[in-house]
Amino acid sequence: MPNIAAFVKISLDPNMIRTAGDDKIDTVNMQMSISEYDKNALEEAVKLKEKYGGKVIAFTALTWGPIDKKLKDTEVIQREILARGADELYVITSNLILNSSPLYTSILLAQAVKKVGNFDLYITGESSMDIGSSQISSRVASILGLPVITYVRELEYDPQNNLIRATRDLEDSYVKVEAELPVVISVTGEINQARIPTLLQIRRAFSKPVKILTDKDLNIPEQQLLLHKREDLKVIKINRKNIILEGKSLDEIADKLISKLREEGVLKV
Amino acid sequence: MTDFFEGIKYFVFVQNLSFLVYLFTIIGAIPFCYGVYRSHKLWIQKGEFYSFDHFWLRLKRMIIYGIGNRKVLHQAQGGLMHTILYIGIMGLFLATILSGIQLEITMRFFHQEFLVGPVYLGFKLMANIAGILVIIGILIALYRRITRSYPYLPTTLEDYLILIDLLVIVITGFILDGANTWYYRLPWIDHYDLIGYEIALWLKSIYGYNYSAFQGVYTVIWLIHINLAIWSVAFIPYTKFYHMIVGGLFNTFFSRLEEPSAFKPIKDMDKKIEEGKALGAVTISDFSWKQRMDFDACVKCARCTNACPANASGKPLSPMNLIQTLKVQMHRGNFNGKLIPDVVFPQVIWSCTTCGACVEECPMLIHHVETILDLRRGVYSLGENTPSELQQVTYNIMRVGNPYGYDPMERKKFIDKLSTELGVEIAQEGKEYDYIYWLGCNASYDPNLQKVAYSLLRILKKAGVNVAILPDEICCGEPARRIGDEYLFRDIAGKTLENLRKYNFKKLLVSCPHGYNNFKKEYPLYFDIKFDVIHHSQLLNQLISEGKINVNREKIKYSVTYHDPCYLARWNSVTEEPRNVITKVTELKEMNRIKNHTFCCGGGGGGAFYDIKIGERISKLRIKEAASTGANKVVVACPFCNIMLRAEAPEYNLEVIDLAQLLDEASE
Amino acid sequence: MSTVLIFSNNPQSFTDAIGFLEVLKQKGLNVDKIIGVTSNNSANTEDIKKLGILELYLYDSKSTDDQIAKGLFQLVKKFSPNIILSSSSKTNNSILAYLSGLLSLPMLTEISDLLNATSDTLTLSRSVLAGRAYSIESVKLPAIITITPKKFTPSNLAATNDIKLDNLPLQDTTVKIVEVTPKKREGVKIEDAEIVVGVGRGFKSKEDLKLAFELASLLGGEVGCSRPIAADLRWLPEDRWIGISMKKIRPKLYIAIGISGAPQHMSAVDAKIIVAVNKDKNASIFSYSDYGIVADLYQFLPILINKLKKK
Repeated sequence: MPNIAAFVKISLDPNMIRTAGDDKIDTVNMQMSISEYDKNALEEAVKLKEKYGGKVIAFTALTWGPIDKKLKDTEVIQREILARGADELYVITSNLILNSSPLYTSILLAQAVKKVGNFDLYITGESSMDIGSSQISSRVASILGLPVITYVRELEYDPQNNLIRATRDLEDSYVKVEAELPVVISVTGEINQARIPTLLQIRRAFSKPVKILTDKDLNIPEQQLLLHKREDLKVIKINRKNIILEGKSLDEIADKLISKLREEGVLKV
Repeated sequence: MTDFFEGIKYFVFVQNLSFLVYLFTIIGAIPFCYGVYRSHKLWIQKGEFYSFDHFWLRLKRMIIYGIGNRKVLHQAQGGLMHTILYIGIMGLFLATILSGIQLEITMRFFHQEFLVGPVYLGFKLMANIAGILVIIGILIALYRRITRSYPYLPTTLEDYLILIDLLVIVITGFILDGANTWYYRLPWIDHYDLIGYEIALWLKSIYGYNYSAFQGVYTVIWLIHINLAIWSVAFIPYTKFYHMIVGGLFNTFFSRLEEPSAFKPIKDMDKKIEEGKALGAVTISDFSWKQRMDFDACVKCARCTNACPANASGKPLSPMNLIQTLKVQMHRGNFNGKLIPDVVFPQVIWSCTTCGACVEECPMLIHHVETILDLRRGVYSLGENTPSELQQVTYNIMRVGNPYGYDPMERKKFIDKLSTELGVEIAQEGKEYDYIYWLGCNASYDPNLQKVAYSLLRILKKAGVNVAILPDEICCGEPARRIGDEYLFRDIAGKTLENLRKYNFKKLLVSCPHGYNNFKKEYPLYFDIKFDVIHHSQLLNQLISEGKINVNREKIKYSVTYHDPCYLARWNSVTEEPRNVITKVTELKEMNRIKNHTFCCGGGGGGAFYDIKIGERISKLRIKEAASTGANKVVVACPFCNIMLRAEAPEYNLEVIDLAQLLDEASE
Repeated sequence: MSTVLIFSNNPQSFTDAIGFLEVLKQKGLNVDKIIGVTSNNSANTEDIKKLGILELYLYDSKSTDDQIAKGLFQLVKKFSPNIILSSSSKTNNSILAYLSGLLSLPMLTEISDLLNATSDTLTLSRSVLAGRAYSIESVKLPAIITITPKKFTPSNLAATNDIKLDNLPLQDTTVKIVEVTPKKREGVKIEDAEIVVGVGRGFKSKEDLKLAFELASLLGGEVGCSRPIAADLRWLPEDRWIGISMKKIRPKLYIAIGISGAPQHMSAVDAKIIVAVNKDKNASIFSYSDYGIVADLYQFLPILINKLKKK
């Protein structure tokens, strides 16, 4: 296979929510992690590489700041991207993309791949696990002037015709499509089971290059004003009631349960 | 009565053939020596050599376990068979050696016999008894082979041939001995030459005094006897008799002297990583010489397999078969071929719970678990043939510091609770503590096991123990090590030690036997450890005996049985302390498999995180055994046992509680 | 405030979008003109007329995302809408994100709330971090917005008598649609169910699970299970297995029956209300639940099922 660009987000880990103060999400100190479906995207790229040759270059846009701190905090995760089979990693940093707006992130990602070289396939996850905008694949495709195939759960490469055949997993149907390369695709979590790297593999990945691209490297058109801004990020608090329903008989308890569930508005019948 | 002082008559009837014995012995030395040399070449690779350090300790172990057959009697029927055969053969061997010494040394050089008079009578008696023992032993062995009364004992033609060979040697020996007695008319010997005398009477009844008529038959029998005897010895290295030498002598002398549960470290790990090599064992050549000797020492007695909980639950692991498979590969010269998945199925190594029952039972001191661990390390470092559930475990440990992937914030909440509700001190640098209580991942996060920590700390606070808990803990690394991720283990063990070194304490109190074993036996493999490690069963027992905990038996209205955790009882011999605590507060109804012969909960070696889904669950077998005692509750002293058995308990109307919870409930 | 373009691959989006515009109006922003774009497949002009849409552009349902987006681009150039609206779905998001790339416009997906609106800025809320948090974002108009389906329902519709129909201009593409296979609906999708009944090791046999299925069908929900039921006992297929590495569910109501409450299971359950039925009063499931019933499921379930049947 020709060369593949994989967009792999280093996300806030939704399983490790940290708040600063009462309910504000502490994005500065929250633990980061490779976004779930981007693992599948990277895995798919690496599988294609293993079968057909070529290179997998990973791109990650650092969308949470402060940049210096996050660059340092995510060093192991950057290596993990390489341990999962990418040959090189470009980390894109810019104040413009902090707070994760897909508008700017996609522009920078597109600039970065243009700078690094020509790719035949661009691949990413269907959405990120922190912000989940589901926009990056389509946006990057349109900026690069390429078609997009989103929500791919089966992917095949036909080296003879330089085609890919993909099955999109949509809400009510599976859609089989064929596309000439180059093309941008996004994958679902079902497309494969991503490998799980060990610390040893991560250490061995230290021989592969990680390069930082700043907005100075990327020739970004100056933005007059921020068109999209994150005002606040707050935790949804769930406190379980922990009420043990008691009664003289199971009959009574069943009645109590049904009326409680009605009160909560969760019972349809 | 001059005959009384006559001793052995050598080569009766066959004086002119006696040279054959010398000839065969000399020729026989060739295959024997070659066989041993061949083994040596298989075991020792470039840069390796046998360890002769701690010579006297090694000799002692050889005498106890090898010559002394220490572990052979663990299994009654087979042990009895072996002991009878062993004593018999050793008796005959001794008789042969003594008569040889007399002929070739004392008579040749000093014209002296020492096997005369009463000594000779004793000699005759010993040889006869030995011969009888061998025959009895052979009969028991044949019974075992024919009736298959011992499960998993593999029986091949060789096993029968060996027994028949021995039987023929002994029977022909008796005939020759009887002929001897008949010919020399040694009437005084009858009481001592038990069988020989009967044969002499029988020969006399047939031939009278016509010795020459018997000479031809004698010669044939003699030839059979010496041929079988000499060639059996000459070809020892090629038959199962070899176990006497490799197993009984070599493998006990060269046995690993480290603690059995301190699985070997990878000393040159960084170098191997630097060179891009796999860790552990991918091929036969990756094992140590000692492990390859282990393979040859195995005599297929099947004790390991019969003791193995994975095997008992229908999993594809038989420690014996694994060792034998590796032995075959070694003998085929397949030193550099990948073993997994073609030679050894991955499910085999992933079935092991590292409970150590095989190691405990093996009379030859083979360390099966270490070999399995090396194979795991091999596949793990290659990233192949590893269950993804287990990769997830190490990934979780690496990312968030616990095998389950719990948010570390959950532990913080729990220790806050311990601090506010029980007044437990959270360790501070610069303060002195008698104990730091290491909660471990299970008691830090699992709500059921948090209760154990809660009970334990409540008791300790009441008893006035100067104990603190750590503000932060990450996994001690035990699961990573058992799964085969040695690199991660060393990494986080280093971090954990760095964390512990910040505090000033005398002993590390651990309520998880896996952590206990890890801190006590395995951390020192890589690091310098300055603190003592104590399991909570030991501390609780100590506090009771010091009178610091008052218990009221009246408070416990139920009876209990106790499940010995592998890592406490078998690997670390802590068996009495928990029992002392239990019997102080209630009635203890023991299961059949207890103490160092305990079964297993199925949770060790990664089993708590990954179930191979073949056969029964080990935990289910164990809970059935617990239920059969008629006890109301199962007391455990290990969080993994707690998790595994708890999952099965409701079906048998049992409840699983930790020792600390039992004592907490009973304390005043 | 002038023009709004509503795009939808299915008619539902129009209703959602009109509902959103109603809220917008309440916040003081008026809409002069609504232009609709939909596939000729789902276009029911009578229904669309009722929504007050003046112009409707149609495209062939076999068009690809990039084709549609480029067609929309032409329309946007023509009408300069202030807001491009749709309801959030895989197809709508894909097409509109492509459009937003072409236009360099901001786009927000899965909007669940409109907090504030000025003539050039909207403040919106959306759920993030796997439903554990929400994000409040402000966006300058013009912008593209997709809203959570069924979140905004219009209360009064201003029907139009006259609707102008036209075709969306389409260009060629290198992507070819080979085959469309509608999904069979019998496949269980517990992750979408509003009510899930979870079964665990408290059930003694596979046959007994019918109690749970009966309860689930009475409630209009689905049955999910814990690891042992799917993985070890294989009583249920893996698509019912609720676990951190398997299906994650977000129902309104989760009823855990005979489930001990292993965190690996519970972390995959994000429910508004959790009910637990377990005979072990110490089972950790109770710490995760809103309402707990300490009872033998074999006694309790038949009673509960009977009561629900009578209702």
